[in-house]
Amino acid sequence: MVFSSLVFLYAFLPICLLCYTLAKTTPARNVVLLVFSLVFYAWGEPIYVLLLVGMAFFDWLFALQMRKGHRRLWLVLSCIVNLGILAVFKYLNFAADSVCALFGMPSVIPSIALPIGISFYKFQLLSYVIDVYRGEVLAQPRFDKVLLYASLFHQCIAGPIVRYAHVEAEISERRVDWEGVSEGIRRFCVGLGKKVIIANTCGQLADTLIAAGNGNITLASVTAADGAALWVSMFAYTLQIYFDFSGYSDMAIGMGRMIGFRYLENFNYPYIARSVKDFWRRWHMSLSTFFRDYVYIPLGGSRCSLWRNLFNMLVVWALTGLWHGASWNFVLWGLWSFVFLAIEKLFLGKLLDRLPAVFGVIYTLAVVFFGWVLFRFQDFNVMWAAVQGLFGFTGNYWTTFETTTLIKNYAFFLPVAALCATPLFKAISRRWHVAAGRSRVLAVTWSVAQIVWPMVLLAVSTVMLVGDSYNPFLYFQF
Amino acid sequence: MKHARRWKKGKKQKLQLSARLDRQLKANEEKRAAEPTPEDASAAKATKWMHPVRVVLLTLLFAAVSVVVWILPLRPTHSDFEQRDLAAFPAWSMETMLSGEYFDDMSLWFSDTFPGRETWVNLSAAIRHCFGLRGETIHGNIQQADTIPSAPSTTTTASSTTTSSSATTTTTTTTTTATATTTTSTGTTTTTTTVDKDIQNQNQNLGAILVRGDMAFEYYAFVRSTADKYINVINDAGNRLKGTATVYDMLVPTSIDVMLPASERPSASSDQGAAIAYMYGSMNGNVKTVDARSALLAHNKEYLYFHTDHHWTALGAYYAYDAFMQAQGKTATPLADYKQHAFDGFLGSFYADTKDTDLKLGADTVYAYEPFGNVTMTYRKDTNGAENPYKVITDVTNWSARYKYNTFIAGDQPLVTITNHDIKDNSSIVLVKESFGNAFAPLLASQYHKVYVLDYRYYTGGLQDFVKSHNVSTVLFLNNMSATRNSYLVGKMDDLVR
Repeated sequence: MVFSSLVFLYAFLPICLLCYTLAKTTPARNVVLLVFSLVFYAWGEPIYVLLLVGMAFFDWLFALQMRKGHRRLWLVLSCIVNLGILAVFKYLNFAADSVCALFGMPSVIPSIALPIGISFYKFQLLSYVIDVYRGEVLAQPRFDKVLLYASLFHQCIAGPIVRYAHVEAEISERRVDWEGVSEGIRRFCVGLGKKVIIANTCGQLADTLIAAGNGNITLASVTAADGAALWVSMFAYTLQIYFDFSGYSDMAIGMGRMIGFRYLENFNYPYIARSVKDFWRRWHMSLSTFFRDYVYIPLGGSRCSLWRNLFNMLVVWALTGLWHGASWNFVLWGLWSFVFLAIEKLFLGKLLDRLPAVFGVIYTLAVVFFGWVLFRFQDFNVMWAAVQGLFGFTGNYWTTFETTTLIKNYAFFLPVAALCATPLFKAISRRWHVAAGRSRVLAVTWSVAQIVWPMVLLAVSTVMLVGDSYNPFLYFQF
Repeated sequence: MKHARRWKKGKKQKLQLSARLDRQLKANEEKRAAEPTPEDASAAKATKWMHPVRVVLLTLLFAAVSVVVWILPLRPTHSDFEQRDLAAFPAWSMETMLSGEYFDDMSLWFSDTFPGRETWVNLSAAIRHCFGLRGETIHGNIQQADTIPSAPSTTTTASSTTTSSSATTTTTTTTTTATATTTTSTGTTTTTTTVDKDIQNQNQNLGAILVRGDMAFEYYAFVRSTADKYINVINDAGNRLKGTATVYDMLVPTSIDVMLPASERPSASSDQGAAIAYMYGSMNGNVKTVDARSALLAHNKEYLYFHTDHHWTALGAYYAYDAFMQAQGKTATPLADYKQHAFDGFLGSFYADTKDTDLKLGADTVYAYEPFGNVTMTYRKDTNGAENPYKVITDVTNWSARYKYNTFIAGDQPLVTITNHDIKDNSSIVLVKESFGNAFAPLLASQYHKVYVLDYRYYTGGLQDFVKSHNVSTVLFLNNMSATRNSYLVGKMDDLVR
């Protein structure tokens, strides 16, 4: 189940919240959350829900054993089990594939389906065990609480990667007030709108522009695409990937706030970043801080020689790339980031500091934009065709009637979507709110807008979700 | 050694400390950011009432919808415009539950039969309509066309080219999909399943549709391999029926070719004139070709094609019928000698496929022409089933807007027989068609005693047997240009002819 589906919005979530409200005490409410979380996960993975429970069980056990000594042993054991299982499910196909490409062996490639959300909940559990090992948090004696932490449907399958330390207290005791619930609902609706209205539309446009007649993006279709189609397609993809992911995080954060969890922010307007380093402080923050705290700093971070520091960065970015998917293009994408981060560290960072901010923003957007080209096309032939097409080396026209028509059809949508990726609307709302303290009219209009806007987003998203189910059956209708 | 380890340990502790410090600092910073300024405080006070109101209103909205979705009678079960039954609530089985299919199907049922669906679907299309400038819109994905050869296909024996052209089909499809699915592995995984799926998908789509004002047009992409197969099928029919019946082939251009001037036609849509010339030019002496295109082009200021549907109108069919009669050296029955029917409010496949609100303004009227006199019709639901009497032209005034083209000859049936009892010369004709032939068949009934209409998509018998057993002397293949780029349909024609 995904958050942006009608069955989640109007069946799962309301029933869950109703049961939650009927249960009066926090322990009872935790039971409700746990049951619903397991149902939520099992909805998509009826079998692998057992893997999730099993992993939470082992890590709960390992962390608890650390109290009795042999701390390092339990840590190593936990890492082996967690990363081992992740490796089998996520990377075995890929590794076998790569080895086969090099040596022609093995001839049979295992085909293992990737359980939903495994990369997210594994990292949460790992962070828990490591934090216990480091003595930053106490081992949780109750299994159900560790399981709730790992499986809570808010963040279990698509992040943010919540640290145990941040929710430790809230798992046992939560406080809700009008403001929290109200903010939570608003945040949820905003996230839903980002996902359904902007990301889904951008996704369709991004694909349509360069797809073949059967709707698939292939080497032939990308090679045939005109320059404008590729640029606009990549632009729409750039928007899609941000709104998709940040919308999902917003919904998770919103649902948390509704019931008293305060998750840390995961995105902070990454497309206004002034450097690639700044971008990574604003993009998927829970992942970059994970790698910072559990890989980069243990390796020695930046408090070592320059070369060692660069090596540390290389490791982190190769891993970051690989985390996003078991394919070489993701590794390439991670290394792409690394190259610019290294250049910034060596000299560019200081230069950017001295230049007006706009240069930094343009430079960062360019790096990020081409980064998404690497990210988007798993097949290197297709990727190369796309790069050639972007710069007009395929000998195609710069634009065609179809591309121009499509751009016109989205002429209002695309600029507005781009503005939504900047803090513009947030700044306006804040100014308005501050002024509301001095003017009764402004206070009322601001409040009404704050009430109506989430309702509009919810209504429009619902209508568009029903619209998406429209699927005309035209088989043999000639 | 010991010293080094201690130093290392110390360093690690320091690092951990610094990480913790980092986090602490960040938390403090966040706290400070969250701490309200005096201005914020007064603003928060002035708007404090907003939060409970927002919670109550949004909860009510959520709750209301969440209750309504469970009123099962409100859930639709069929969609006229999509021409399909909506997803049903899945039946439970251990197997489907463990594979997750059961839950997927339940989610699908939930969204597919959402109460008030039709309204929301239309509203959703209206919202998308506001995303940019309109006037011209393209829906769907454009299929890549092959170059149309200027010289006719020089094949002599039908069988040899059938294999070679089918081989080209497979290679072209596999190269595109194979690169997408198997990136690094060389020849270790098979991609047959994806290839099959692709072919299926192509058949299910109308392809790209251009909406221009309140009219829509379907893109046509010439597919060399399928066109070659079509040529072979028709040649094969000519060879097999030689001495038994005369075989005519009529290729009907689609509206984009006839109604849009060449200068305004998108270049991604192949030239149907050239494609017809190639296919006709490649046919052997046992097939007579009918130039319907010139006849239609000569009248392209008239209402020859629907605005919201991919079919031609009965008037378009009439000009083609006229051309067919001329090709046989006969004279067509004047239009005025037919009984005319009109049914308005038709919203056809283009509207169903795009839901483009502009098209709603271009709602069509279906005109139908029926011969006067003692004309009866029967049809079979199955190839060898019973003969059911039916009307040649059905009154569809009260039918759903989507189904009005079904006024002609009971819609798409495997076999329809129209008998004109006023013609006693025992003349008969077999019309092999897809749905373009429906508007055409009644026109023939003014001149033949028996008109047998075979829909090659559903008729499972053989053409040769039928022609011989019914003593038919004329066979007309009537195919629209979109059928000749569809390998599934041409395959079905092949099945009929073999």
